[in-house]
Amino acid sequence: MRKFLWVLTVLFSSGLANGVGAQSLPFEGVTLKVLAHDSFFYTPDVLEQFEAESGMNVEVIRAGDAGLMLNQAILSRENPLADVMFGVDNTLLSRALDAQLFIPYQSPALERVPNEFELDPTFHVTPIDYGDVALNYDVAWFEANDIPVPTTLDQLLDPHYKSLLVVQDPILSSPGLAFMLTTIANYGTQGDYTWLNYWAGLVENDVLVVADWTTAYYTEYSLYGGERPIVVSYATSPIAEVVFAPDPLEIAPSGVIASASSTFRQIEFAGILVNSTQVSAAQAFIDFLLSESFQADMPLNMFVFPTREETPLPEAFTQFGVPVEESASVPYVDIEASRETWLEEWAEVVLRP
Amino acid sequence: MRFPHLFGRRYAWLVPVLFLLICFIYPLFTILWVSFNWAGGGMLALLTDATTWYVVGFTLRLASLSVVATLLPALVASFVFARYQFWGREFFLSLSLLPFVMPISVTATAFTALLGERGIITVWLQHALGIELDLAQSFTLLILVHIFYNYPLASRLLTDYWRENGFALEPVARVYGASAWVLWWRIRLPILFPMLASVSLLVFAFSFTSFGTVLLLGGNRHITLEVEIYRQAVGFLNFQDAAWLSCLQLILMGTVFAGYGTLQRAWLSGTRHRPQPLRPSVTLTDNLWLGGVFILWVALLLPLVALIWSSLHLGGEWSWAGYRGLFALERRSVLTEPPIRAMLHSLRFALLTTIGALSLGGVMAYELRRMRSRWAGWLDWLFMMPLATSTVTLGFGFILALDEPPLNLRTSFWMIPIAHTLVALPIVMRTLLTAWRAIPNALYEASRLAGASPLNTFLKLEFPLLRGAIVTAGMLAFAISLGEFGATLFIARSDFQTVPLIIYRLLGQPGGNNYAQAMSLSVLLLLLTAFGWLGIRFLANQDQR
Repeated sequence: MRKFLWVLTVLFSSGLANGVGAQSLPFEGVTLKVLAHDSFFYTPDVLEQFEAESGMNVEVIRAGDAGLMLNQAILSRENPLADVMFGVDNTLLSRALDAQLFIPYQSPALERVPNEFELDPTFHVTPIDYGDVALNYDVAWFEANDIPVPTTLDQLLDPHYKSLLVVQDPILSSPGLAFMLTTIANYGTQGDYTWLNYWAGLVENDVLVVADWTTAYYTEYSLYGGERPIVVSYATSPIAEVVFAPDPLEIAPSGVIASASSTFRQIEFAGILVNSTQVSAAQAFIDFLLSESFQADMPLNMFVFPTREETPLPEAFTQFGVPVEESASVPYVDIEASRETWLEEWAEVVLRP
Repeated sequence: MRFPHLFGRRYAWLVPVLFLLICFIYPLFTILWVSFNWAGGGMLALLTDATTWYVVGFTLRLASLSVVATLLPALVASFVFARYQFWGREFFLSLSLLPFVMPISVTATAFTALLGERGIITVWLQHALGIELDLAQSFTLLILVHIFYNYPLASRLLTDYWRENGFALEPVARVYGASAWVLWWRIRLPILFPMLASVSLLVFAFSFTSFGTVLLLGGNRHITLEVEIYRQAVGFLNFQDAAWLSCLQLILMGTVFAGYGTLQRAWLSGTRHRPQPLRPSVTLTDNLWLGGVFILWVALLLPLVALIWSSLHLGGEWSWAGYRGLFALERRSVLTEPPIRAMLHSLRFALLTTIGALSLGGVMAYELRRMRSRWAGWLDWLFMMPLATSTVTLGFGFILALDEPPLNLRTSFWMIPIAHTLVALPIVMRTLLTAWRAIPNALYEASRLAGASPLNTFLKLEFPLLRGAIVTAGMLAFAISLGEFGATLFIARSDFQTVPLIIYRLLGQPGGNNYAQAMSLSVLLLLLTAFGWLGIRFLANQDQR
């Protein structure tokens, strides 16, 4: 019976029976392992309902942040830790694809996902959510000090904004890497004034570099008692500040500098790990990640945007969200090709001035 | 002489050795082997790189200065705790392990609240004394945090050892007119020397492999080998350099452990004396000692107070919100189950670790206590090596090596207690072994002459003398497991979140409630440790008032 179902799924997914997902297939007694980073949050009910409908038992395995998780997946490629991996983003995508970590799967649900998100034309990975890494600022601090909020990356070099910015080390931190890529997209790697000149300017203006997001946000950011009123975080962080406020808030305590090209778009993907023994169940799970219920559940849990079109956004998003019109972008293939060089150049300029 | 032996023929040591082979050496060699097979630069390139030697130099400097900076206050405190009876002695002792379980992100927050640019102490120094303090990302700050983390371990071990082997000779020495100077140099320190050396070694190993502290508080100028391994492996995804650096770290620490081993052969004979009753503080000197220790304790507790303060103080107002969220699951934080459940996971892991580390370390220490062969030295050395190993490297090793039945452990429940046991085992074994070797040969001879069986010798002679050391070792293992973060993070884990991991996840998302819950959970972790400690002391009836 199971063999038959498997054949059926393969037929369906190869496009012979368009429009019929694998969701309706029962996976009685199947345990599906999902490798995810530590920021993978969801409402348990949503997953439980999927388990009830599909019959499978989903076991989530957590493996640190996205970089650490990817390393573990690459090391265990021959005998994978899980069947599905969730949370590799466009800054790490090329490495995952080069390591031939995934087997292709074109989910029928992709029809509802705009093409701009499907970076891999061979469907080895499926885009699940996206968000923007953006500079946040402490609204109260700027009001109290009567300084206008900077609106462009250039302004951060202005002596008026000396010692106000804290960023993460791009070697160790994913938002840190995204912010570094933002500067590369803006200032380029060729010509008289490159991104490295920009960073030299930031160093001149006393930028603070710390190891990770947590230290930047909860130790150095002035909103939590630190000294720096501008921090590299996400465009949705102010929404989280409202949602997770101990007392209801009228306005978000943080703002976002969302002008053109000062943000960087991160797209998170899921993929079926090569050597998985539960391919059909894994395909059903990918479909589930793109399903209406899971997509609608993501924003308030992970503070990301669903890739599925017309997914209703929660009120907090529509009320407190800051629209990001144009993100900076660096092709993911270039990121992989030059990442090491860029990181070394960055370290040369910023860490050993 | 022949020593009594519980297990008849000497095969019991196989159990801990097998554990180490399977759960430590095999994964470690697998990851190193795989990494070396990959393309890239080799050891030579790394060894000729100036950065490598800068990092090695910095690591050595940090570790040695941490030892000195930790041992001086620990020596003073343990002198007072081992000698004097005073009000609050038990209370202060029970607080002694707390910094051990503080997650590093939380410690970083607490230290910044105290010593940051606008920290309470910084501001006070500036206003009251006109001193400008700039400790942000400084070497001094790293040393302070290392004292904070290592001082409790050091003072705890020294206090117990001193108490057991203590001050019996002193009245005699005084009769012969020994000055205070002579007392310290000729009597106290020599008696204490074995434990002093053990403690130095442990503190050195901890500081040498310091990861979170240096990563989060050191800024970019301060990089230990352990941090560099992480940067290479996770940042640059350069497994080969990471593996070579891991080897370098193993070689350096291995040499230090070997040097220690050579030294300790000199102390194989026991120096044990009867514990003396605690005495009240009478003279001015007594009270000066007490006062000094009191100031030390206040300084040590300040970061904990800062933590409690920030767990109750949200956005400028007093609030219980952080604590409320811990018990009932509200739609107000990122967590999907009440964090209090992670507490149960953590407790379970801590108990398993305590049992595992005590039994394995106990058997090993029993076997090694009087062994004089070259094997003994090697085994002793081998059991220290987990302390020298980069946790991120070992974590990757687990994933590669323990992936086939019957050892398909890598995502199982057992992986976490195994990793915690590996971290705790060297400390437990060191503590027990040092105490065991302090039992004088004469006592064994007496017991043999009296015709006692090995079992009787163990039950009637060794166990009572070791009870204090066993309790201390057990509690250290318990606390290590409760607070362990580094190794746990690098393990792919199924639904078993420990408290430090939950705190890490909470602090990975923006929002006042997440922050407040992380702080409150840390306070709860401290309380749990303190009560656990008091409980175990009570059960073990260790109150020797």
